Amino acid sequence: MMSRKVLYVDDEDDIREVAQLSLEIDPGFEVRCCASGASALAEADAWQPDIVLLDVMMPEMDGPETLRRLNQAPSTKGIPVVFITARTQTHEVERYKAMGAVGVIAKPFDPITLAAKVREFLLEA
Amino acid sequence: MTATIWQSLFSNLAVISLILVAWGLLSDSSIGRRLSKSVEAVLLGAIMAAGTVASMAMATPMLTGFIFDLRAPLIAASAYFGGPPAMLVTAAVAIAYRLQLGGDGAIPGAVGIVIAAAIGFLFWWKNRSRDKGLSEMLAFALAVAAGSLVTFLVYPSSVWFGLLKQNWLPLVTLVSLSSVMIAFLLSRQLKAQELANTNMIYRAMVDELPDPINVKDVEGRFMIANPATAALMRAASVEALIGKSDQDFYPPDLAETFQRDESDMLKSGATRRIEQIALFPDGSRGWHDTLKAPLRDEDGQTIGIITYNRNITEQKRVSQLKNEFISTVSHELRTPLTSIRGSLGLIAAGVTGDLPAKAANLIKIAHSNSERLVHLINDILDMEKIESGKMAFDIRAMPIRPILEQAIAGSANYKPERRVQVVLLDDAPRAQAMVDADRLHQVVTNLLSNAIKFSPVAGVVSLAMERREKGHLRISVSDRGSGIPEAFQGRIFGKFEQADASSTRDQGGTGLGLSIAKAIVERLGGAIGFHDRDGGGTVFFIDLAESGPIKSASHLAREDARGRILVCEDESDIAAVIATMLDVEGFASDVAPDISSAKSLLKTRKYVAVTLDIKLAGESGLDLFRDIRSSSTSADVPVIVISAVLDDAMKALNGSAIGIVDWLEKPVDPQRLHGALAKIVAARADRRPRILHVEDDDGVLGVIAESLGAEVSITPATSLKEANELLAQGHFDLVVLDVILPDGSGLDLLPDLPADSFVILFSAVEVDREVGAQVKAVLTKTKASELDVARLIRGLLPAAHSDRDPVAAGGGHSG
Repeated sequence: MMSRKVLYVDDEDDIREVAQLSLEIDPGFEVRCCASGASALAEADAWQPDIVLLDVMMPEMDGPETLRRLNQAPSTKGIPVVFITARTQTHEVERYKAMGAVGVIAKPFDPITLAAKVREFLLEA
Repeated sequence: MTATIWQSLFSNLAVISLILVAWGLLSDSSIGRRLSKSVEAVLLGAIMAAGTVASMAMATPMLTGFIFDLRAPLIAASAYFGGPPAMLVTAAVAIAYRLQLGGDGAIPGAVGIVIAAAIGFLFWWKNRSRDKGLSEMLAFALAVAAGSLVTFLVYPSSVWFGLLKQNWLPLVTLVSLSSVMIAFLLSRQLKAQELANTNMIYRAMVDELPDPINVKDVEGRFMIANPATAALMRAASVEALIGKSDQDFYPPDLAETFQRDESDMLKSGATRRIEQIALFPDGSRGWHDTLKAPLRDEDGQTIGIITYNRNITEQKRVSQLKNEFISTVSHELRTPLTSIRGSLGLIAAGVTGDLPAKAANLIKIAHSNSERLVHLINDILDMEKIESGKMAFDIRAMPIRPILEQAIAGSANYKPERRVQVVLLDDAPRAQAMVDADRLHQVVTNLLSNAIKFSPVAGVVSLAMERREKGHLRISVSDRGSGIPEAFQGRIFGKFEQADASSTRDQGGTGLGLSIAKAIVERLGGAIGFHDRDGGGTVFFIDLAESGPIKSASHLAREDARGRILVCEDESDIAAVIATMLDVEGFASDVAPDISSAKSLLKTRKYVAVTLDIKLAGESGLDLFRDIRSSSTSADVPVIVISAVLDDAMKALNGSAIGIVDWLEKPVDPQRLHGALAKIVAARADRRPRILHVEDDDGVLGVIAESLGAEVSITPATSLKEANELLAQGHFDLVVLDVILPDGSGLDLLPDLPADSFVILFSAVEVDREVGAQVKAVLTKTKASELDVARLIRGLLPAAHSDRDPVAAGGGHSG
């Protein structure tokens, strides 16, 4: 099976570590992590992931801003982005979708099913 | 002489009128209003006393020493309205003045005064309130008149008869007339005074009230307002408000909003409580809890609007702070919880390798508690959203069944160690309601997890949907647990309520689930409740109004009367796919995920067919198949076998395939399903000859059944008892009867059969000629084979089943 590249962006070290392990449950995933929006932009440009998982609340460049810039740059435009957030009120979810996110995963996520959810988004995208 | 007594009494009447006018002026004056009740009574007594003095002074003596006047009505009325204090004052003054006038009539006159006072006192005693009825006042007047006549008895015997004869008519007439007049006027005055007092008290209350209260006419112009209203509206005084409306004081947007609220209230005619934006005198805006009520006149006509405002700005602010706090804290909790739940989940799932048993157990405990914390935070956030009105509802007409199916699928992983099965009973095919699908799903999931939680191990939970009285849908979840303790029943929908504290620990509930469920259902315009289940356990139900395309009663009846198929399938999404296909084909369906629940459904509900997953929930669907066939109630239910492993299944069933309509492979092909259902429909339409085969030998039953194939419907009975039950249930065209049965002789059945029955005896024992005459044919097992029996049946059937030709229907892979 062709390996899929997943980029996980979160400013919390602990969550990045857990997320990486959770995503690697799927042997078909190659996972890289970034700790800020800025480094995510660079990584996405260089590595060309199949999907980007973005934390919403990050210092300096937050998730929505990172998404906007990803969509602006020709090299990263079209890479599906999923928001990972603790704020999942209905109107917020709608807002994220309106920004161009293909989906929203709520924190705290279930580590066992996280990879499967990401697979679903990859299939839909 | 007669003219004189009339004149004398009439001039007395004028005195009384003057006295009453004087009393009215006094009691209405500002001094009169401030008097206490006892002082008022004494004053009344004094004025009445003055009246008696004046009337005695003005009266013309009829006979020297004897005076006839209208003092009696005054004295009696004084006692009647003023009670003992007034009576004492009036009577004392009147007696003193009469005695001072002297003459032979002085003593009788004093006696008359006492009699009048006593009559007034008696009436006062009977009714001390100021509210005297007209008939009571008439009785009072007649009593006073009679009292005046009684007084004649104490006159000297030489004069009384003459005086009575001369004066009785004018006395009776004018005494009673003036009594009524006095009583009537006094009672009106006293009532008016009381009303004025009450008004004054209300006025004072309203004026002192710190909250604005006012009354407007139906056009919105102020009729009455308190100073708080004037202050709120920055009017110079209350008087400056009267006749003006909101437009004169508020910016147009606010005034319009207020007016809309008022016209809404006037339209509905009912009292309303609303939360309104308020503009305060300092220019800030806040919130009022506002009551709007219609003001009605005596005929019930609405003539105004009563408004009462309570400032709840602070309350709103505090509750908003609370909600924001909860929201922030919950979100802040979620971030560290993401790492905790993630780490524990990964270790518990063995992603990081195996742990020593003790460590694994501790990790399991930590993991399940972190899951609980996640649920708790989610529930708290939901509760906060509901309370602050921020929970968004996407309400539209939705088919309900898929929501129920998803809820069952979602609860499949809930407490698998309890092995609780959920069956779906759909008595409202194609029902739709105005709901938010996600929210209803949340509620049903909550009820299901509660039911699973409180079910005994390996128990059954039913999720049912039915149509109640016109246009109402009921979704119910029943468990067979121990029920809800009575003491807890009243609090069950409260926040953080659990039947006992330990259940929270054992079962991992948050105590918020039901209170969220109630809030959601109410928001959907429905109702939620529960009752005990017959036979133990609890039923929770959700009532919703059915919506969707408007259906006629006959249409609904048709829909409810559709053939029902039992889907035996443990994978809920596959069950849902099959159910959808069945729905397209015009069948209603129930879903049973395991054999034991399927068996119990087959006993209690009627099905035209069963679809059977041959690998049901780890058990063999074949067992169920055998059960279906051997049970008297479902022996001839057609079965559609659905399986992913067709070859094995076919082999296993080889040789007993009677009644299997078709074999379908997973994934189910709608075309093939259609074909199978068509056969069932055909079989239902053309009634095949029905044969009852009473036989305790499976081999004999099988061979005869196979040789006759699907042309006939054969119902086996392996005992006398079973045969009797089947015969009681319905008609059979032909009966094949064994004589030696486990519980008696088959011959015992003969007298109970209808006279025209076709009976074939097929037995190892010879029977005598007499018995042989009662039946169509006798075959002996050692001499004739099963095939002979089958041939004989075929020969007899046209006659037995004469109303219709046997139709080869129902196909099947027999023999």
